[in-house]
Amino acid sequence: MLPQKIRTRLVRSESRVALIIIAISLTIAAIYTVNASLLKPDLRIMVADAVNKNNVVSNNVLRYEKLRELLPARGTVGYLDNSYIDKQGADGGAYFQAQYALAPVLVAGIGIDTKITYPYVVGNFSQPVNLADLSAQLHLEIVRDFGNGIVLFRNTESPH
Amino acid sequence: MLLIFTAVIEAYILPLIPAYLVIRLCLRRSLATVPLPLQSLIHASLAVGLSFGLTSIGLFLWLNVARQAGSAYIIVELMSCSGIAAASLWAGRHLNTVSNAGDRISFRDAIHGLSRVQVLALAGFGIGCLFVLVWLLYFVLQLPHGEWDAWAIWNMRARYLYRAQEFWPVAFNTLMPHTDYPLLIPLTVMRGWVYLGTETQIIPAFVSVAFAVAVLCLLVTALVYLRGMLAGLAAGSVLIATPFFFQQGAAQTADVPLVFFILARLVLIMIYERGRSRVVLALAGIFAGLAGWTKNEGLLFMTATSVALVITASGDSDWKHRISGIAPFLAGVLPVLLVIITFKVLYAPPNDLIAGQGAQTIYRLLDVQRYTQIASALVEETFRDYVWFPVLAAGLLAGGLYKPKAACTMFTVLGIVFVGYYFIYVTTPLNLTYHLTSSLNRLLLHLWPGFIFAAFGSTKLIAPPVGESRIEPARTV
Repeated sequence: MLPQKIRTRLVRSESRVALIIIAISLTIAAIYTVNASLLKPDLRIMVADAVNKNNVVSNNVLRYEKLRELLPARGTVGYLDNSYIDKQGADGGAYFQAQYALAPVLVAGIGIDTKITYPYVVGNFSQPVNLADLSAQLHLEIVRDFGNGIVLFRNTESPH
Repeated sequence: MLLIFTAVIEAYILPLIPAYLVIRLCLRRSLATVPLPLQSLIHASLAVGLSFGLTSIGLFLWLNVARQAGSAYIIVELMSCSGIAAASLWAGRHLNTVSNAGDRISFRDAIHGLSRVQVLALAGFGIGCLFVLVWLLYFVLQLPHGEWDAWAIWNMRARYLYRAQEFWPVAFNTLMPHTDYPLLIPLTVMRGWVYLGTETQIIPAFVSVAFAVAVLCLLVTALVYLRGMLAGLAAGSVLIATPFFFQQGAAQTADVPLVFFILARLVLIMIYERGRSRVVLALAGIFAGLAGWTKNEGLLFMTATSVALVITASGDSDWKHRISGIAPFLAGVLPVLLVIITFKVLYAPPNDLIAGQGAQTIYRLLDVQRYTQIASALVEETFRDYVWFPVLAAGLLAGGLYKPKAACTMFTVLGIVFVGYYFIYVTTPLNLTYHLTSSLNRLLLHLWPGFIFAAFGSTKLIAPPVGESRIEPARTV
């Protein structure tokens, strides 16, 4: 602990505290204004990243808008994207965005060796895919290709 | 736009009035000598969290009974709000006989009572706040759906709850991530949409910003009351010099709302220590419970705050005093806890971190490398987003503690939560590096404004105690 004399001086130096507050506040004003911070040099990059990521969300909500009108009011639909075709792990971001856009319909990712039991399957393809081959392979028929990478399939083997 | 504005007023501003009146009634005795403008700001900041929290619980109970929220829900809620407001006004006039000296100090008097130095500091702080507010709004506009956790968890849950109507339990289907998370934020967002009759991203953005502003306002005003004006402004300056806080404030996640409830609980500890009013302790219990209704981490805070209270009360030799120091808190926390238990038992799936525990947990606990990895990530994160931490810690160590008992309770609460977070990482079944990268900055944020408050509220270095604060202009009374 500091000696009593120094502590008393610090407590009494009200104007110094005020000056510190003003200095901090004005620095903050400058930092936030120019958006390039001394405290956080990557602030501008951080904002740009967030904006880019979010544009993806906003765009995806719009991409699914027309498809949503064709889906039943509730129930579960299957979900396929390029990661299924490429036999890679599912793209969590794209999958969650499909759920977010298609609520309250539940969206279930389809595993590579899983038999499709859902009456409808939503396709979300960022890379070109041979839809005819894919449909035949998975016993699906195309209900509508929305032309923006989004495709609605019907399961030909579904009892519904 | 006019419809959205009306919905915001009806859904969020109207319930603020009864919450404000209830808080004013509860704190009337404790804040009796505080100037009216300062009192009002403290009440209003606390009312934001109380009204959002209790109305979300109201909607949860309504959905359990009526299955669907429509015009009947709106009518019942508005009538309940009117009833509570009327009862609070009546109680304020008839039950409380405390002379409220602070009510006689108007805004004008309070401003005239400030010294030139204080006015200058206030102006500087105001400029800082203005720029932060502009930046916050800019960020909100750029992030209409919020950050990843916002659209993948909180807004997603709100969408399912709202769109599924009577089939709302579909919102807890395990096809979606983290459906065991509590419902304060999703239900608060849903309320806005119910009042409006449709969805708009303005509602979750409004809720998010309201909590961020309430945290700043509560931190500053509570410290102005407790430690003097310059201490309050200095603490506020440190918070606005934490860009990560305001980024999260615009992100529409549940982290800043949790920060609010943790801070509110700590503020009420200090207020309780001054007046020893049991009703303040009950109010603190409600806020601690609402922290648990906001995020799972809030449940840890709720436990920590209860343990800290028991530790503090155990120092009292008289068992009657011990009980009276705990019972009101439990009376506040238990009703909210019952709601949380109802949600967890009836709807929530098991938590992934708890479900992933087993024999492997022992190996994780004995793995020294995990401890060092977490410690090193903590140091790195502190110097990235919380650069003021070493300054405040040094100030605390150098100056010593003012009101050691309250300080001890506050630091015990923060310490238990911190240790709890540390062991969540030690025992996590997820990849540790991924878990640290994706959440450590936000977990530290939960404690940051509380720590700023505890540091400025406890240090002997900065401001004189309340009685010496120049914001109270003695000549005007």
